[in-house]
Amino acid sequence: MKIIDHVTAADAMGNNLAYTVIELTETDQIGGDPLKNTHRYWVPAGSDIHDSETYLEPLDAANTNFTSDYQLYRETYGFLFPAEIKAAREQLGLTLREAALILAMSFATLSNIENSLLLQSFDQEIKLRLLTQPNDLRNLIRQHRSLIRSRAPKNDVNADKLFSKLNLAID
Amino acid sequence: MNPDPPITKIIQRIEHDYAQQHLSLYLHKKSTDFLRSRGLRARTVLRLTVRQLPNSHDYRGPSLHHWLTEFTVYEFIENILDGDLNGDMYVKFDLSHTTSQLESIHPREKPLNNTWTRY
Repeated sequence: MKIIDHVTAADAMGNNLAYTVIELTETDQIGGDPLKNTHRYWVPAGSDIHDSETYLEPLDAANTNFTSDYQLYRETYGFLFPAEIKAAREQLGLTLREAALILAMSFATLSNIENSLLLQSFDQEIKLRLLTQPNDLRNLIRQHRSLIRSRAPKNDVNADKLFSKLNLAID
Repeated sequence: MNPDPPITKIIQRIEHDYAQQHLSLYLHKKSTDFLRSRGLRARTVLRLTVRQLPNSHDYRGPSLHHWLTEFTVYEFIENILDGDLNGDMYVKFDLSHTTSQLESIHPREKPLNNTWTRY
């Protein structure tokens, strides 16, 4: 563990509270898989800097550790990045709702993944990869065409339009 | 001495602070370790916990904060059934006169006892 800095941050009443900024390298479970990374924490002054129960996410950048972990996880395990997922979907001309329907994911989940609010699970990664493999995606849709058509209205999707976008015959 | 406000007022206050972007994050490592294990981000979970709060759950409070003396602490056990969070979650909010903050979110660890009140 390394002490990086000593900082102050104003509390709700405008009083300055002191914190020690530390960095430590640790192995966490990310999405159920081990990942070794260096994290930054703030420790309130007067607390034991060796007691992890007192560690706070940096008050000036609460997303720092999350962003770093999810980027490293995607690099380490060969997962698609949010921008790649969005680009692949747009390359196919699909809306978020259309892609979510085809991949059997909820609209909210796919939207959260594309907007970096959620790290996809391995199950979801396998589905998302289909967006980068149009021929496999078309085969999947051909096999499940009637189910997709049946579910389309509930998902605010026009099935004919969707099949047309993917150059599939409208039956 | 003023009586403690009813829990519905506290929940409305948290919802209001969230809507006004006056609800900040003061998250301990224990909570963020849990969020990372699920691939979540704090802001995503904050939205989810605030949205679920008005539904019937259990709460405890007010109590004094350990070192942030201007804050009052309210703890909740929220039963969240969502794709990303499933089960009883322990959620702790700190409220001052002007702001509020989320301090803890992780799965419930202990059985509920008589210090908790259902609403």
